[in-house]
Amino acid sequence: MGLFRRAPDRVEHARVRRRWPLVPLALAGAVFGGLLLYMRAVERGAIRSVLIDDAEAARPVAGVAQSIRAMKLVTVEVNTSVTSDSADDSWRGLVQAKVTAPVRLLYGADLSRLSASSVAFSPLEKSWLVRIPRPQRIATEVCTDSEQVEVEVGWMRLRSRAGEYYLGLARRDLSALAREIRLSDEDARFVHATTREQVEALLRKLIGSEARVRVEFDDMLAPADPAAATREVAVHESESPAAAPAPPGAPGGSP
Amino acid sequence: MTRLWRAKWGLLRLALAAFLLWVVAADTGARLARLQLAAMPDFDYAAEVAYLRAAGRYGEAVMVADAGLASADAEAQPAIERERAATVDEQGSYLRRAKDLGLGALSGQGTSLESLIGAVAADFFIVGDIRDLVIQGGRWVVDGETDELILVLSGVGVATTVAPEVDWVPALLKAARKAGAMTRGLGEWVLRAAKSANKDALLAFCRDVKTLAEKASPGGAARLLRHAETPEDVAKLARFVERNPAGAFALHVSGRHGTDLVKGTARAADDAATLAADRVLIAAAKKGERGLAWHRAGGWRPLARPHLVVGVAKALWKGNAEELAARLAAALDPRGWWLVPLLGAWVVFELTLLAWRARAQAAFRSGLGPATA
Repeated sequence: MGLFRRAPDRVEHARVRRRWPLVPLALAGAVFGGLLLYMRAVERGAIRSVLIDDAEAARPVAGVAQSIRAMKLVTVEVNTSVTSDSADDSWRGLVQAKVTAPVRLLYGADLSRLSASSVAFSPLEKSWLVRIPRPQRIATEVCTDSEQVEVEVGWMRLRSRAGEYYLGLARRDLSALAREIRLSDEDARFVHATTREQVEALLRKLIGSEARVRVEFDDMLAPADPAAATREVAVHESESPAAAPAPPGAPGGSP
Repeated sequence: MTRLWRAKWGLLRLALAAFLLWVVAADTGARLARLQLAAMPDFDYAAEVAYLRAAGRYGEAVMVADAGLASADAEAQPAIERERAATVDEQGSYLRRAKDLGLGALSGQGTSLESLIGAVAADFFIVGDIRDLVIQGGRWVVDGETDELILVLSGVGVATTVAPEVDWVPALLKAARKAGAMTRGLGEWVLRAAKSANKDALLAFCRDVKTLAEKASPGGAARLLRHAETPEDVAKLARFVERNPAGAFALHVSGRHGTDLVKGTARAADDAATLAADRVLIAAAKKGERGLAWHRAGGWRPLARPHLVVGVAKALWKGNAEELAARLAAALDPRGWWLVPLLGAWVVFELTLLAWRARAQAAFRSGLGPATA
């Protein structure tokens, strides 16, 4: 019986096979299309979520370096005073002249010497680092119109002659003494800090006020005359020796 | 049973389609994470090296350059090589000055030792003038010092004479302390260990610091100490940089986030999940800030869970199942968007085909019923 029962099944199976499975194909096609659209959307969404708008990308380092170079100098003004005195003692009595004048020292960092390698941008810290030369003295101005003079003359000395002569000598030394002024540690720190602040402010104007900027002094870009650099700091008491010879033909000479 | 037997090929195809669909679909989260990582631009190694060089952090600059040369694409390599060469030149000139004129010649009188530590690579500490300069600088730091830890570290320096390979580590720790890079917790532990003359613990700690310095540069090690509260943290960081060639670079880029992740690992260092987490952190670090933002947002989690098939494969086969899976994934990732729908459609097709045939057979049988009865 079993053998006889199988025959019609085979026939039925063959008939079923002959027909195209249109319904399963249509369903599979629909599932494929739907899933394809869904997967594409998910994939694009995932990638879009990690891509950041690069419209505000960092400026090229070379461009920033060029812009800074164009600024040439940053100046810091230090106000101090210089005192020069001159004296002569003889049997006619003592003559002593002392001049104190305000001095303005101008310091600047020569930004024109910056190279492209002096400016660096960290993609990690999103911060700019600029290495500039240490600030140098670029001018020394003695304000003689605000000077204070003290003259003492002995019993046989005339103020109009001896007093004025030694006052002149003291005045002549003022400029040389002013040029020899070395900044105190505190003033040197002030010059460094102010130069840093000024360069940072300049950079922020170039690359945006929110930018993180660090300014370092580069000793490789050392000034030609190290004596003029603020790095060689020494406290100067601004007192002249009595017979300090005036430097011949010194620029910015005595008043 | 007979009907099932008749449908055996259909069922087999269905099982195969369902298995393949599961394998591919279960990896969708990880695949999307890999695609996200791949879509991000690579880290700008050359710019970072230039920045570190400008900051006088030559040791870290060389470490970053080496990581870049090992993994950046061919287009970026020449720029990295140029920056590395410039860094090594500048480092040489700086160290010549330090050797010729002494530590005082380095910029910033109070920070000479710190700047020297930041400028050198650990291999300078094997033997020679720089090693002497560092050790001598460590002693010089003590002059007029009132910080108890600095003074105690000098005692440690004496103690490490029994382990000459780490005798420069106390100087590095002093520099880190002076630069404010040693946490309070770690500082207190060193004080306690030194006071109780726990030499073994101190030497183990010094060796971990040495490992960090060798892999991340001495300056980089001092920076990493900023994130370590205990010697166990230092040990975990040391093991991380030891087992991953780009580990030091990853910690340099990821900073506190990366160190917190490494410190928080409770599992064994050779655990599959730990290694997977390491790999993802390094991959994210190689994408820079964007990769880190993605990592911080938790995008890394699907990648840190190994696929079940990888676990089964590891149980059956002693080869490197992870590597095989990684290669397979790399080949399939770009095709995933149509592969999953295709396999899904195949499953649906097989299912409906089975149902359709069963229905057709039932209809045929009911039509044939009276004749066969």
